[in-house]
Amino acid sequence: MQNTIKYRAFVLLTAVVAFSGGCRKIFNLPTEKDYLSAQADYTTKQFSPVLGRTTLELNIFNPVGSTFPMTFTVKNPRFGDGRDASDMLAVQPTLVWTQEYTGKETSLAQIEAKRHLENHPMLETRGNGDLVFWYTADTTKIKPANTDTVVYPQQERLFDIKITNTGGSRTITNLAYIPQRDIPYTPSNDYNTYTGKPNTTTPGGHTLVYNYPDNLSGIKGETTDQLMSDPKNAQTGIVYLYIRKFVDLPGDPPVDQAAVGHRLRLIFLKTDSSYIDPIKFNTTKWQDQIHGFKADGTPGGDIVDHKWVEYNVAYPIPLANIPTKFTSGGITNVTGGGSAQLNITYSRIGFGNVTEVGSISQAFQIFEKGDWEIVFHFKTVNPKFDND
Amino acid sequence: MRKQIIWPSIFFCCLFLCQNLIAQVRKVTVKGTVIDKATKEPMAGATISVGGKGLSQADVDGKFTVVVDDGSTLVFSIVGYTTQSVKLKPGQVLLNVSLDADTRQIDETVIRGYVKRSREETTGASYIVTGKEVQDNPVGNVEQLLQGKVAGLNIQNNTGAPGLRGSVNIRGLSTIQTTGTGDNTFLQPTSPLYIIDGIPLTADQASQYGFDQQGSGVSPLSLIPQEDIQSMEVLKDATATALYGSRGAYGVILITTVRGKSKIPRVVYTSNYYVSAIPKLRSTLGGDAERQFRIAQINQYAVNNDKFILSNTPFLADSLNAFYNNSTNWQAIYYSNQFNTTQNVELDGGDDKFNYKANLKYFSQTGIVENTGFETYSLDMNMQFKPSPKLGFFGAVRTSLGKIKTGSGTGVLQNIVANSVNNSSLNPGPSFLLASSDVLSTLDIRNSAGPKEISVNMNANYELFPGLNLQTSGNYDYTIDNTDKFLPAAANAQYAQIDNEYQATSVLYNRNNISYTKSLGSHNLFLNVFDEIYITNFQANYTRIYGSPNDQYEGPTGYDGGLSTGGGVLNTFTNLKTAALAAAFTYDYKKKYILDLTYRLDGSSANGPADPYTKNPSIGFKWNLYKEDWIADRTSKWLDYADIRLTAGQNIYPVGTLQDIYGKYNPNGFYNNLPRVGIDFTEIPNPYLKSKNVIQYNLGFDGSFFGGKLDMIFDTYYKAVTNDLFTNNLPNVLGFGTYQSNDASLSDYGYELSLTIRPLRKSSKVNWTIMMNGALNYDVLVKLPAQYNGQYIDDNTTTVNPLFISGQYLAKRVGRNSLSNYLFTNQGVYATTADVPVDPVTGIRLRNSNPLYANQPNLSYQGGDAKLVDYNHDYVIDARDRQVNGNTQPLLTGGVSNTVSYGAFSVNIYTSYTAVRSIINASLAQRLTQLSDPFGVNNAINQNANGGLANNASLARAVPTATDLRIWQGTGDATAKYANVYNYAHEQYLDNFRAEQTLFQENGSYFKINQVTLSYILPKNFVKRIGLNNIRTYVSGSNLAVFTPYSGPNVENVNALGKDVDGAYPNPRTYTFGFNVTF
Repeated sequence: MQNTIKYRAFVLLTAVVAFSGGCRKIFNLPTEKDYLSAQADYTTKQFSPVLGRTTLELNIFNPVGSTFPMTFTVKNPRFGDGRDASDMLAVQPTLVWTQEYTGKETSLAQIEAKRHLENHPMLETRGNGDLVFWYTADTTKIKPANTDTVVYPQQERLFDIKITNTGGSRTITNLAYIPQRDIPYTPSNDYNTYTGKPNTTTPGGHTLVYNYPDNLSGIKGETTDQLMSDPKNAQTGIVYLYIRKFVDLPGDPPVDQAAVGHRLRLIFLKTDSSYIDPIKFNTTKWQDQIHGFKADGTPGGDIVDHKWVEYNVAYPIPLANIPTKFTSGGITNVTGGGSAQLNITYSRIGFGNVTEVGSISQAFQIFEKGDWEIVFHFKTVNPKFDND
Repeated sequence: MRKQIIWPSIFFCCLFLCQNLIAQVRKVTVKGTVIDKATKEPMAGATISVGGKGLSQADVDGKFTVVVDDGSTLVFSIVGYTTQSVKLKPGQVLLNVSLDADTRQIDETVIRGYVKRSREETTGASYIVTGKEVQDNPVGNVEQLLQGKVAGLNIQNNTGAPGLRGSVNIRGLSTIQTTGTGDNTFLQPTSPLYIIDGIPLTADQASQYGFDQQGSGVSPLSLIPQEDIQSMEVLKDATATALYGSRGAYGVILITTVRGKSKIPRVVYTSNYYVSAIPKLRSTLGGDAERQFRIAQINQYAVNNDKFILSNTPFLADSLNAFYNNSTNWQAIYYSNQFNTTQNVELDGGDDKFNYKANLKYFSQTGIVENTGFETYSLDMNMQFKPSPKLGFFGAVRTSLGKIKTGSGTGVLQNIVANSVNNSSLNPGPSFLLASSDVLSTLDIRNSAGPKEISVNMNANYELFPGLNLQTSGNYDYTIDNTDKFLPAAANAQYAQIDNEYQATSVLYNRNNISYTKSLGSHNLFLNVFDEIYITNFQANYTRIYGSPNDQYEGPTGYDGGLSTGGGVLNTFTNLKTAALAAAFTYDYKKKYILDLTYRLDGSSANGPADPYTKNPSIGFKWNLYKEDWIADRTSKWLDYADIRLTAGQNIYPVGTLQDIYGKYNPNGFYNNLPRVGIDFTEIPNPYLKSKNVIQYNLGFDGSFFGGKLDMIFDTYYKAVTNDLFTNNLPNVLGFGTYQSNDASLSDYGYELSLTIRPLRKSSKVNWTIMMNGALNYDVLVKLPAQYNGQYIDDNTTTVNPLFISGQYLAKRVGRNSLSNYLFTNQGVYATTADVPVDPVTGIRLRNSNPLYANQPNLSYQGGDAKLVDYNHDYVIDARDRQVNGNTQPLLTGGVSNTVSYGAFSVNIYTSYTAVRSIINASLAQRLTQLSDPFGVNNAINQNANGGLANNASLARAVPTATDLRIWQGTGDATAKYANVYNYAHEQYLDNFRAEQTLFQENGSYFKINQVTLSYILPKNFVKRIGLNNIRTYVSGSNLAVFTPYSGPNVENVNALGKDVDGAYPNPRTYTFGFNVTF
């Protein structure tokens, strides 16, 4: 009996379900699907990222309420004249973050533990339509589009993006990728961003353009006793800034081979290009200048042979756009984190027993992995370290 | 000619005489009483007949005396009761009869197209609620007592404000039209059309858009006394409503008022005394507990110079300061229990030829919120006069006066009160010398508001020859509704404010019909043709003036341009004219097969001038199964009756306003001494606007089994709502902002089941009736304007900047339930900071998008924050991570009513339920936010901007208790439900308690005990001794308990879109003692 009841209940239930399902069919009711707006589009369609560094184009896709998750696929890479440009989609081993960089890591290993290698195409899309131009695309793999300010259509790389969700798919065509030559470091006034050669005041000219330190204060000339606050002023003393790669020379102090390829030196040169002993910058907290490590692995930099301060570092510098004590403005500058910051200071007793503090401050970025040195060259006047 | 009359007369006289001669064998005088079996009330007016001839009627005490032949059979009958025959035993002279109320639904009289028909012969779906079911519980609006009584009638009593209405929908959604955006979105009400004694009445106020309406907000329905209601019939499908055409698309509820039916005049006095009790309020920390909580919170989570600010915040730091040394219970200041009474006197009398009724009512309800309340005085009279069987008149006058006090709120919403009750307990309470303007404005605002209505209707019918009836009826209704508000200067920054609103509605209605019935053997025909004219005008004016000489002087105020806000006619202005011609034709064969056809042609001024007419046909078919011999033969043992109904038809409802069709023109001053009048550019007129169209198919089954032990009505329907009004936003390059189109459509389909069970035998002394019903309704959005491509989020700024929207938005997506929420998905709480995902490209933790703080590390999620799903994998939580979610409308509604009576006692327990519905518990979200604001500024950044020394005591909110909530307890707590609410410094960046997330989208199902009534009829002889006829006393409790998984304060007290709006008026619990005396 109970079975019969169950059976009847089952039949009734099936009938009800069939009818409710049937209603949708009989009356041709639409079924729900994800929404893909006809107006969903890229608001920016031309991208000129600099090669050799990771550029994330944020919020360039306006979904107009379309339902995520959505997939974005790069299609049909080509040059403006129709040549194939699929080289830009080549997959490269790429360092990606797995944990958040905080600036508080106490060894290089700790930093490296937070990122690992993954294969990514050099041009990639993300779930919200953002475009990622990975740092793996450099001049050796992707030819810069232009060697001067003019970009010819055949130099542009074009591609389409197919957007798909369960509601349908659309293709947004003719997004342009105009790669710019690597600029491995900033400030880069001394670097010609079109040719990669030393920069000159006029194209093809011979007068070089130099980098100067951001800010000098309280530094007096050894011979002039004048404040060298303007590094471009020949009267008070010119100070050049070089950010350049170095190679180990035979006469240099012994080299730890494990550190080669990820070193950073801070060098201070006199007018005669001889080294100023970094110890003379007596109030500088060397461990707070660069998120780098000594040869023994502890945080800070080694003062090598009274010549320079050397750090073992992880590139790029800064590692992430996160405010740390190594970035401009420090951690309280909540909008900072974009560039690293040097604050090199010393104090001496000035005339009349007054403490005078001299400082050099410099914001910089280095994108390319290698052995780099940041050189402050007191070109015409040496700074005064002695007490008056 | 004369002979023709005289001869038969003589013949019949002889016949009668002969009969008498025969009967003279033996005569007896039989005496007795006729009473109602259930209520034991005397049945005044019951007819006693023998052999089809009426002998007498029972008097007001139900007593009768007849002289009949010994041993003859007496037949007792009265409308609404089962006729009972009793054969006298030889020599019997005493006979007490108790009549059974006729509960078989098939025998009910229903009204179709203004004409009374037997339910057996009609095809439409409807349900009748008797007047008795809506007594014993005094309410400001009788509608709320229908909750859970009719399958498919979804009533949510979502406000406890006296005199105001909840939401009423028949068979699911009929519109997707919403007004306002974000948290203040309201659904356009789609109340059914009420027909009161044949006269249509729109229950929605013309100016009523959702909650925050202008005007007094009192529904015309609140002015109808519940004691005066004889019955209410809810018409659901298209065939039933077909003839109510032009405004019947949302369903129709017919209300029949009491008519005089007793030959001996009757006076019924009903008196109720009731207490409205405040529901459970929010528990908060008081006094020192609150101060200690705030200080501990600051000590634990302070950033920057917060601790310095603490020492400069007197209400926290200076605990010895008498001004701040309080523990004020703000809720008790605004909410209190109230005692109220209602009195009703009804006089009626008369017979079929002439009867009259007058009902006088006083209703008063002081609201549980201070300075609110509702009072009505009404006098309703009707009179029916039938000088000859052929000619009949019916006239009625309804007059009523309503008075409503809304305090500082706007009726349904009590925002200022909601804000004030959340004051910090450290603040001193109101006193003679000390009160904040919030307090003053709530307690001292003086308003006098309310409608004054007079409605007259007259109806005449004449039977030209048997079967052919001519009928005409006319009605004029005039309602004025004004609001005078005086806000004293002390409560309004030293400027008294005088608000005046005046609105007037007039309705003129006329209907003339001809109906004809004819039987040709087994074939029965019925034809009804009528025309109908409906004209309504509405205009509302509003002015506001600041400043009066003093707080005692409330006017008249002179006109001072500088102090007046101008005011003028509000754009709710209405001038609607509809005219219709309709015909109905019914054919049946032996009452076995019934076919209903109706056709209605409607012209409406609310349609665009390009196409003002709509044609509305309907067809219905009914098969009375039990009249088939082959079925009756086999089932007669257990089947009383059964039938199958199949109907289809169309109805319309005017939706456009004059402004939508013709545009709005503004005077724009003078140019060259010529007045300029130009079109208002906010909306482009649409002359092609149509009425909303509702097409409904219905399949129904009625049955009664086991001698009335089980009655059942089952219906399944499909309802297509097309041409729904939709406001289209125009691109900003066009001069106009929006236009109204008919491009939205939705469909409802569902099932309704009503069961009435009488488990005990008829002869049992205990009478037990269980009525249950349930309705399952699905709605599907079918169409949106083409340019929206199948989805519309009700905030147009999403197209401008998808990143910066916050708030509770409504999503309308084709193919799913019409009104969904647009929410972030919450998956719990991050146990530790390491659990927060990191962007592989940038190395930054998952962040919040916040326009105020750009892309700051403060916005990164950490352990103890809400785990919101990043649907687009960009490691930023922004508006694009919202998903369409939930259903704001309930799927399942219904109720159960249980009545047991024994002797003079009767107990009724009446419950209702609503299931499968999403509610956004914004109330809980707000409660949590209040825990996260120790300084009382909600934003420490503002505080820093003020030099960090601002005294924020008056801004500080109460600290609710949170011991019942599973809040994150510290690093590693993976099972918490709510994020760390105490870390106020971090919370301001994170907004963990945004209401628009799935965490706060809760299950809004509930089961509610609406009412429990115990009544007792005093013994007859005792009543007689004190010279009365009948006394019935009762005690009842209403809104007694709600069982729900919902964690908010009241699951029902949410708006029609399932948002638990802060500031809603709580539903009181009431306890009533009442009695009912018949003289």
